[in-house]
Amino acid sequence: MKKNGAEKKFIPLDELLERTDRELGSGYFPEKSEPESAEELPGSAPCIRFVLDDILMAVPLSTALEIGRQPRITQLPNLPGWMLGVSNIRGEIISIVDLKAFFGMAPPGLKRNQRFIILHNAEMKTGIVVDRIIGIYTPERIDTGTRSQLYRAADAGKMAWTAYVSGVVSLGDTVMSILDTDKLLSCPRMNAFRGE
Amino acid sequence: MSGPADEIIKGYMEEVRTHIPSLTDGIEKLRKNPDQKNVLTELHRLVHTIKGASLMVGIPGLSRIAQQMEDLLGDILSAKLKLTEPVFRVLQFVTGHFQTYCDDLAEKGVPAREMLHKTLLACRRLRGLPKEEDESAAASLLQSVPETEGLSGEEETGAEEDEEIAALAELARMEAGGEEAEPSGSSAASAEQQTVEPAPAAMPEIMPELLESFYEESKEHLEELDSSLNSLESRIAAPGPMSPAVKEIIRKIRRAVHTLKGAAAVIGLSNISAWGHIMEDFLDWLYEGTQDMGPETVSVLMESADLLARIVALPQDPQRSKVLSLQTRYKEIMQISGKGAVPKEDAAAPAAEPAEVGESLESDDRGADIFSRQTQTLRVGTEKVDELVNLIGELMIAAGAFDQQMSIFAEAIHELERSRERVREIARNMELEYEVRALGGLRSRSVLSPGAGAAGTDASKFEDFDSLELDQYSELSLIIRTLNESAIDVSAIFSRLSNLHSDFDGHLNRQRVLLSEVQDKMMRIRMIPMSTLGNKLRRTVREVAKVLKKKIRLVITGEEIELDRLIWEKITDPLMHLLRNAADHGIEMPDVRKEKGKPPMAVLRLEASREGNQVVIRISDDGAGLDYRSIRKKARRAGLIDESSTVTEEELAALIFRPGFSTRDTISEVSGRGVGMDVVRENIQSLKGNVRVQSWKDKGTRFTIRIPLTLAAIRALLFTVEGRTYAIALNEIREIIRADAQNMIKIPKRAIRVGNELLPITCLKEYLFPGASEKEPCPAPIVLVTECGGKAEALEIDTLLGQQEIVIKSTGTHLHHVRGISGVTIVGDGTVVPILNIPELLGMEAEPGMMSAGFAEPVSAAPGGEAPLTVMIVDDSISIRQVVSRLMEDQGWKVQTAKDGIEALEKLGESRPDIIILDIEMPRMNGYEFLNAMSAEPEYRGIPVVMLTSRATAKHQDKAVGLGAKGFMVKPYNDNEFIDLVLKLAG
Repeated sequence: MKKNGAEKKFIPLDELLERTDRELGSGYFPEKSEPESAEELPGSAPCIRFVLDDILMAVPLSTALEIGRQPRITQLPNLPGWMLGVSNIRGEIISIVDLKAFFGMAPPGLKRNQRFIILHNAEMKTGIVVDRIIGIYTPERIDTGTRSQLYRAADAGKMAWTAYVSGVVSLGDTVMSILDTDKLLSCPRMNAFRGE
Repeated sequence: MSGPADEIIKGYMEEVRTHIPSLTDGIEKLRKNPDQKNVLTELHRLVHTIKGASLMVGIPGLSRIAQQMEDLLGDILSAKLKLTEPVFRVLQFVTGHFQTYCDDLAEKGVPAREMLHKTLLACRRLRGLPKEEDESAAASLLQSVPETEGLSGEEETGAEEDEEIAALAELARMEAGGEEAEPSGSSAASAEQQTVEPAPAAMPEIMPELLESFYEESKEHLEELDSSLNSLESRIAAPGPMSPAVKEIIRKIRRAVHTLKGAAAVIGLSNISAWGHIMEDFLDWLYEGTQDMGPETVSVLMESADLLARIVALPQDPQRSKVLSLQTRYKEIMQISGKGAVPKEDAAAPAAEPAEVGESLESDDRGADIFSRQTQTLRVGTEKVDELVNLIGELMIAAGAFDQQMSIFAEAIHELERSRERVREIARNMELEYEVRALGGLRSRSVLSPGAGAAGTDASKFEDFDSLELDQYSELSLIIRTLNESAIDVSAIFSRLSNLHSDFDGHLNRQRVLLSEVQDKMMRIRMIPMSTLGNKLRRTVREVAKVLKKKIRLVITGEEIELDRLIWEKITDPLMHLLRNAADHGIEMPDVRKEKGKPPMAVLRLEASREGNQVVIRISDDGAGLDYRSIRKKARRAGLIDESSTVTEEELAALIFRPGFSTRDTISEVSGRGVGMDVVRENIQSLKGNVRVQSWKDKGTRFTIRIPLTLAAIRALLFTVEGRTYAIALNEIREIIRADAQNMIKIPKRAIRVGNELLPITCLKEYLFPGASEKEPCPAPIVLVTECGGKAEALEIDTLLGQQEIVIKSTGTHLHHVRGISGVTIVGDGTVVPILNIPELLGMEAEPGMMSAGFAEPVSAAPGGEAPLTVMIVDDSISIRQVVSRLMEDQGWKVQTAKDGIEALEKLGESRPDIIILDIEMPRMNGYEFLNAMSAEPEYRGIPVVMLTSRATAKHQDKAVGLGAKGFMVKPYNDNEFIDLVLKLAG
C-alpha cells in the first residue's frame, strides 16, 4: 500500500464497526446520488474504503449491510474457486466471494486478517473478502472523467476489475475507485448459480 | 302410478272439491253485488292455491287452468277489468273445469289440453289481449300440458315428464318476469318458487365473517362430496342393485348437500340453497325410493356436485340452464327405474319445508354438526405456522447444544470420580504409613512429629499407655483424618452430581422425546396429503374428458402421500396441466381406441410414492404415446434440430418442455399454446425437482416428477471428510460399514461387499475436494452405504460424528443451487454444515433427454483473470453457431466460428482460442477427425475442447474423450450449465 497522507491512518476495526453501524442506522447518508457530475455537491454518498492488493477501492455505504472480521467459511463443492463458500452471519446463510480471485488479481484463498463486507442489491446478499478496510469516507468530488481516462473498456487481465468501477476520486497522490455494487452483483459470472 | 302418490292426488282432489262450493258461492255473491272486494280477494286466493298446489302434486293441466282464472281475477282486482256477465260466465266455466277434474281425474282422465285451450282463449278475450298472439301463447302453454291427465300407464309416464319440464319452464318464466311474488300463496307454491328464485341482483347484505366461515365450511363439504362421489364412482361400474355400502355413501352425500344447503340458506345465499334443495330431493329418492343405481346416475351426481361447487364459488349466478337440464336428467333417471311417481312424494314432502330451509327436519342434527366442526378447526396463517416450525427447529438445535454440554458434564463427573479415588488412595496410604511409623517408634515419632508441642504435653500424660492401648493424635494424624473426611465429602458430592446428571439426562431425554413429538406434529400441520388435491384433479379430468368427448378414468394411488402445503400449491398447476395434456394429446378418441384394440375407457394414472428423500409422482396414460414424427417436424421448423442430424426419441421428448413448443396447429380450450410444459418444468424446478418423460408408441406416455422432500428438519448423519463436517439425510443411508480385509477388495478397483452386492468404493474426497493431493488410501475406511432412487453407493469417509436432528436451510440469496448439496444446516456451535445430495454430487442425476449430461469434470481452481475468453465454435449449422455465439458474447467473450473441421484448423493457425466448442457431425472434417488433427499439433494440445452435440450416448462421449475432448454438452443445453462448463475448462 502506498503512502496516502492522513487518510492512511489505521482505524481500529471495532471503532469502525461502531461508526458504520451508527451511520447505517442513522439514515445519515442521502440516497445514492449519482456520482457523475457531482462536482462540489455536498451530498456525495459516503463510501466504505478498502484495499485490495494495494489498490484503494470503495463501495457505497448504502449498498453495504455489515462489515466484520473474517467469518468462518464452509466450503461447498462444485463452486468456482473465488466462491469461497457460505458463512453463518447471525443465523443467515450468506455466500462469501473472494473478490481478489474474482477479479483475477490472485489465486483464491484466505489470508490472515482479511475482512469482509456484506453487500446487497435488490436480489441478493453476498459477502466480499477484502484485504483491509480503511474507513468511511464521503468523497467531495467524484470524477468520471478520470475514470474514462484511467481505465479503458478493454482493460483485461489484472485490470479487468475496472469494468466494475463507476467513478474515481483523486486523493492527492493516489486515486480511489468506487465500485458499482449492483453491476458487480448482477454480472452473469456472479449469478451462475441462480438458475435450476 | 304408485300408491302413495295416488293417495296424495286423491287427497288433493278432495281438497279442491271443498273449494268448489266456495268458488261458486263467491261468483254468485259477486254477481249480485260486484263491489265486494273481500269476496273477490278470497276468490283470487283460492284459485291461486289451486294453481300452486296442483303443480306441486303434479297436475299441470289443472294448474294452468287455474292460472288463467287467477290472471283474470288479478285483472279484475287491479280494476283493469269490469265484472260483467261474460266474466261471470267464464268464471263459472272454469269452476266447472275444476269440478271435472275432481270427478274424472282418478278414473277416466281429463282432456287437459283441450280444457286449457278453451279456458285460455276465453280468458284472453275477456282480458282484451290481442287475438294474433293467441296461437303462440297457447302453443307454449299447451306444450306443457299432456293431452289428458289422470290416466295411469305409459301415457302417464310421458305426461309426468312433460309436466315436470313444464313446471320448470314455468318457474323459469316466473323468475324472468319476476312479478309474481305472492306471500299469500300456498306454502307449497311459494316454497317451490323460492327454490329457483334468483338472488337479487345485488347480493343481500351478508356479514363477511359469516360468508368467510361459510366458505371455509363449504370447502369441507365439497371435498367430502367429491371424495364420496369418487368412491361411488369406483363402486358403480354397471347398473345394478345398491349395496349397503353404496347406500351409506349416498347418505353421506345427501348429508353433505343438506348441510351445505342449510348453511347457505341460513346466511341467505339463496341460489346455493335452491340448487342444494333440488339435489337433495334427488338424493332422497336415491336413498329411499330406489334400489338400483347405474353409472349414469353417478355421472349426473358428479355434474350436480360440480354445479354446486360452481354456484358456491359464484353465488350470484343461479346457473339456471344447468339447473334445469340436470333436473330433467334427474326426472329421466327416476322414470327409467320405473317409479315415476315416487319423486312426487318427495316433491310434496319438501313442500312442507318453508323458505327457511335451515329449520328443516334435520336442523338439530345439522346444527350440532356445524358447531362441532367449528370447535375442531382453527384458522391460522401459514406464516405463523412457519414461524413455529422454525422456532422448533431452533429449539432442536439448542437441545443439541445442550447435549454436547451434557457429555462434557459427564466427563467432569468422571474426572471427579478419579480424583476422589486418588484422594482416598493418598489418605489411606498416609494413614497406613503413619500408623506403621507410629508403631515402629512412637516415642521418637511423637517428638519428631511436627507441632508436637501441644500434643506432646498431652501425650506425656498418657505415657504409661502403650501406643496400642491408646490412640494418640498428632497433627499429622489429624490432617490424615481431615483428608479422609474430604475424600468422603468428595465422594458424596460425586454421587450427588452423578445422580443429578442422570436426572438431567432423564429430563433431557424426556424433553427430546417431547420436542421431537412437537416437531413431528408441527410438521404434520403443514403437511397435507395428496387426497386434498385429488378431487380437484379428478374434476379437471372429468371436465376435460367431457369437452373432448373422450372416456377417461383417472386412477389416483398414493393419496396418503404427504407434502408441504406450499409444495402441493406449486405443483397443482403442473399436475393439472399434465393431466389435461394427457387427455388431449395422449388419449385417443374412443373409436380410435377400439380400432387399436384398446378398451374405449382410457385409464389415466396418477401415482405418488416416496423414494428415499424424494416424492415421486408419475402420470401415465395408455394413449398413443408421443408423436415423434410431428415433434421432429415442428422442431425442424423451429430450427431446434438439424435437417440432417438424426435425433433420438429421448431428445425429441425433451423438446416438449421447450417454451413455445407445441405440436398442435390449433389452440384449443384445453391445450396447444405450448406454454404449459415450459411452465410445468419451471414450477417443478423451482421446487428443486425434475421431470422427465417416457413414451411408448400406442402404449402410452409417462411423466415422472421427482421432488426432494424439503422438510424443515431431518435426522442426518454427520461425518467428516478432510476435517470438514458434512451431513447426509439418515433415510438415505442404508448401512455404515468399517471396511476390512474380509469385505473389501482392492484390485483392480476398491470395492466393498454389502450383502450380496459388490459396490465400488467412492471416495467422497475426490468429489468434495477435486484436485486435492492423492494420499495413500486408507486400509480400513469407514464406508457409508447410501441408497437413493434405487441405486446404492458406497462412500468412503474419514470419521463419523454421529446422528443429529438438523434443520435444512437454503444456501442463501446468492447461491440458489449448488450442485451436489441439497442445502446446509447450522449445528449447535454455529458452524455451517453442507447436506450432501449424493446422486447429484456423484453426477448420477444427469438424466438423458432431460438436461445436459454433465461431465463429471472436477471443478478446477478459480478461473483466471477477467480477460475475455476467446471461444471458437465449430458447427456446421449456422443457427447453432449463432445461438452459441450469442450466449458466449453475452458473457463478454470473444467468439470465432468455423463451419467445419478444416475451416477450424485454418483459423487455429491465425489465432489461438481459449476453448473450442465442437460439433461431431460436420461435412469435410467431422469432430472426431478434427480432434485427431488437433492432437497431432503439439501447440494446440493445451486447448480444451467441449463437444456440443445431440449425441448423448456413452459411446459418443467415450470416443470424444478418448480423442482428447475435455467436456461434453448435449443439445439442447442449459445456458448456465454450458457457461459453467466453459468457465471450468477454460479457466
